Amino acid sequence: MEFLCSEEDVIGWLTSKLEDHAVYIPSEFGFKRVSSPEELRLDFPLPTVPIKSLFFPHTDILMKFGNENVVETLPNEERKIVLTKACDAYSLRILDAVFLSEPVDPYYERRRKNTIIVTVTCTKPCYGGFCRFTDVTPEGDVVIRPANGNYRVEVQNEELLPDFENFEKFRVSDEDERGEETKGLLNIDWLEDAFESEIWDEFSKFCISCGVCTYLCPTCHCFDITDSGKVRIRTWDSCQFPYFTMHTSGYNPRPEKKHRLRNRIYHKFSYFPKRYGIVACVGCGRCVRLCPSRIDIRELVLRRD
Amino acid sequence: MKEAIEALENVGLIIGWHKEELVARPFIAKSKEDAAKLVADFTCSINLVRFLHDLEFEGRIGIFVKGCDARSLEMLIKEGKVDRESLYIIGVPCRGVIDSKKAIRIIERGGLKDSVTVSYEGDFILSDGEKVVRIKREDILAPCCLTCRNPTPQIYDVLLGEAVEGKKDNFEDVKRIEDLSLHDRWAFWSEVLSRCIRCYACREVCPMCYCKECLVDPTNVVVTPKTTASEKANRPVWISRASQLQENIIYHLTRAMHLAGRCADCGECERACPMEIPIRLLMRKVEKDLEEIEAHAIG
Repeated sequence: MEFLCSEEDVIGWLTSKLEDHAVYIPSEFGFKRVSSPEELRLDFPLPTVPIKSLFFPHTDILMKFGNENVVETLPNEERKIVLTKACDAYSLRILDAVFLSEPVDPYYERRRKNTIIVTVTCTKPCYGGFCRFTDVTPEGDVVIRPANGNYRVEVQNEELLPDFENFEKFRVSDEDERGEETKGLLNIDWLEDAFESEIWDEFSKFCISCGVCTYLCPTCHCFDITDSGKVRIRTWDSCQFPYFTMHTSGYNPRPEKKHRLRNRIYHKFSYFPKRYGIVACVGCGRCVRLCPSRIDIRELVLRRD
Repeated sequence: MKEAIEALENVGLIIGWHKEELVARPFIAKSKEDAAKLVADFTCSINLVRFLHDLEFEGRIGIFVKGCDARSLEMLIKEGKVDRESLYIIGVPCRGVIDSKKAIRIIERGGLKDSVTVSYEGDFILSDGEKVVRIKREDILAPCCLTCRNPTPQIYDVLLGEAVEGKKDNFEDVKRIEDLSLHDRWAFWSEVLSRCIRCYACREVCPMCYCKECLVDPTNVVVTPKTTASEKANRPVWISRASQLQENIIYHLTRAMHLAGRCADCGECERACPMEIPIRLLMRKVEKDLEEIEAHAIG
């Protein structure tokens, strides 16, 4: 069901939710909890740290060790509303497939359930972003599209329909400002025969093995578990770090940068789609914008040769 | 580039910069055709010296360096990490390089399309063919360029063009933080350092951070078939992997101390940091203190 709302209407709806929901909004570097209605806006940026940090934080305390007992520290359940761009919203499909399939990850599940995703679509692509080539479509419990100064509000979650019943229904004649549709244009079939290709040598030559591309990827979800004092923590880990695959024996099956970079590409565009039926890249462009060596994933997956 | 093609007579390969719209990419030129693609301009922000650590090549290597890059190279030569004789240094007097994060903000705010050309005519001009945005130097150059004392390499085999005069650096940025009250200074550092996601881009990109094993990931402590399980379990872990303020502080302060008197202020750590943590402030505080205490200056 779609409604035609003004900006005040949408902000008003969100304000009414502040009382019994924790509302999160993207800021420059990450998602911030909204503490007053003045912080609500619909023209927020794509944050450097993606939406995964709300459900799968960089550092998660799993349990605490007492002198005689171990206490599991599951996060509190919280009714959340998360404002987000379409790429980050779509990335939750990938994360849900991993963390909510059996065996369910209780830490992720607790944070994820009771979450209302409010997606605000972009009117122009961001620098380095290539979502128009991936399978990303705007989805969420509520999807808000700018439409001639107003907003076309699509309520995908029927439980929220009563909140909007007083608003005018959106008529098809009200043209929305959606850009050109160019979906499913990734060129990734060539990966099938490219495992031993020299392209990985070439492509990884200047990789510095930092964690920028993976940590800031909305779909990367690898982690490590370590004990730190009297707590057991789970932290983000990166397949680009040389120690990621280091065995206890000292043997490392991915000793070189080319092996690690290849793994990142294959995981997103080959292994993951084969296992879950969905490409694990939304085209948000964070890795493109922020790679210190300017390694550009688009050259691999948007190849036109 | 003519000079690069000439340089190829002296070396087997050249590490240089390949033209790209905002940040020229590192590029290895082995042939004249390759060398023709090299550039040396305001997009060459990447310090190439770092790549000498993992380049496997027998023979003389040509490398492009700006003034700040040359300082880090001098330091590596002093520390015995790089052999001066194995290098052919192509020095680039530098008028400053653009900060890609600033540039991307300008592009997105200005509503420019993805492929942008940047040119310099007193101000920087960004254009996507339709829209044009004019930006002052200080609003787009990397922060380290605005106070650069050494834009011209002091060590080189060939210098491309005339020397550029250095600026005066009064450490104004450091003084501003020093002048804050203890409470405000703590609030400032807490805020910026709690942003750290521990991706270690600052460490990996730094030409001076070449330790085989780093404080933060001591997993490489020699493990042999005879190492017992309890020995493995008791491997020293100096700092937790948690991205928590106290751990982040230990990481960044330790790094600053390890770089004391060695940092060339090439700005790579800040350029690489996705969270825009002002890492140079820490390094520059150390440098300022050293200069005051010992009248010491690197290089």
